[in-house]
Amino acid sequence: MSSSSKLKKNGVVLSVVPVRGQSERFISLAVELAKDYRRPCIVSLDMDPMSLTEKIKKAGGDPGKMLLVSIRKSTTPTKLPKSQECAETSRVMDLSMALFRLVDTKNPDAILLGPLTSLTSKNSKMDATKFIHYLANDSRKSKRKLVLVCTKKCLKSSFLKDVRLFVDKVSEGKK
Amino acid sequence: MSASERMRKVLSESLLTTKAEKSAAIVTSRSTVDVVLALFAFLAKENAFEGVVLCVDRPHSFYKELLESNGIDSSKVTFINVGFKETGDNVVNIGENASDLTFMKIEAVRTAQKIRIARPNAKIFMLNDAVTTLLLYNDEKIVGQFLHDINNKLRELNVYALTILEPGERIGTIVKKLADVSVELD
Repeated sequence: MSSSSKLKKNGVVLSVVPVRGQSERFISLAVELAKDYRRPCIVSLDMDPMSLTEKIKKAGGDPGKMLLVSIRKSTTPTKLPKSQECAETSRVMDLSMALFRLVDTKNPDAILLGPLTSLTSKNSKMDATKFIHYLANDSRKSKRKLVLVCTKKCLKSSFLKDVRLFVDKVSEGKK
Repeated sequence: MSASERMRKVLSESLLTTKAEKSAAIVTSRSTVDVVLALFAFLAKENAFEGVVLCVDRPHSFYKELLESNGIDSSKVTFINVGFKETGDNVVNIGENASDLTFMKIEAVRTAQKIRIARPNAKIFMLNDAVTTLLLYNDEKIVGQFLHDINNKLRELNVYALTILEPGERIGTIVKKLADVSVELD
């Protein structure tokens, strides 16, 4: 089964990507998602808006068809297109405000979020886990797809062990 | 002058005194229900504020009935039920109990943000009347961080944060420090 058909079948998916080339794999998941969903929301926890947009274009995707959430860097312009939001940091409160500004106004039909390990660098494990739990509940309630991305290396961490409890499917995808 | 009129007088003399004021701690040993009613009468009825209420000790249906039976329009109030499962307009149900502080703060700020986006010029307040209950489920440091997180985000959204406290609570030091104004209601 392709990762795209796994996605269609399951509401909340944890996609495990190799450590090497993880950001390329994240971008290709974003491009794949944009083929199957009307308006996916791509949440990158380790890229600024400029590099996220550039990488999507380079991979043959159309960032204009997507809603983008990324993390602000000192070089990020203050004014961004209406389909983009920047969280000040990857702290749960900053991130959820930026994400829900788009979710509650533009109604995406799918969310791609990763890499999950970036969440635990700025939040307690409890806050990070609860944020993912909240997002998974909200996505199910709204019949919105949720794809979480992590590397194979971090799959054994206690945070990811908890996250796996909320997902419908763990997809190892392309190696 | 009745007790509730006295409370309203103190509130109107102490709250919203400057434009910069964005949060208040109400320290009182009076019945929470009476204080909530006085706050709604002052903010919603007299000053046209929209409200968001964290319903931890009592469900949204209780507040709704309380407001409506006292002539206060509840249609401009959004209720976040914590651990209560109810249906109705302007009500969101979250969590199993008051230990879910992360759920609570995400939902509280998300709700305030939604109202702010829909009505950029609206006057909005958020009421938390259950600090003591939050302390039953979480330690003081965690509750303090929760209040700090929420307060900061509400400030960004220009939403007035109201916290009701009992006198002598240890967490009172943090709550009063976070608040722009502290009012004693006795």
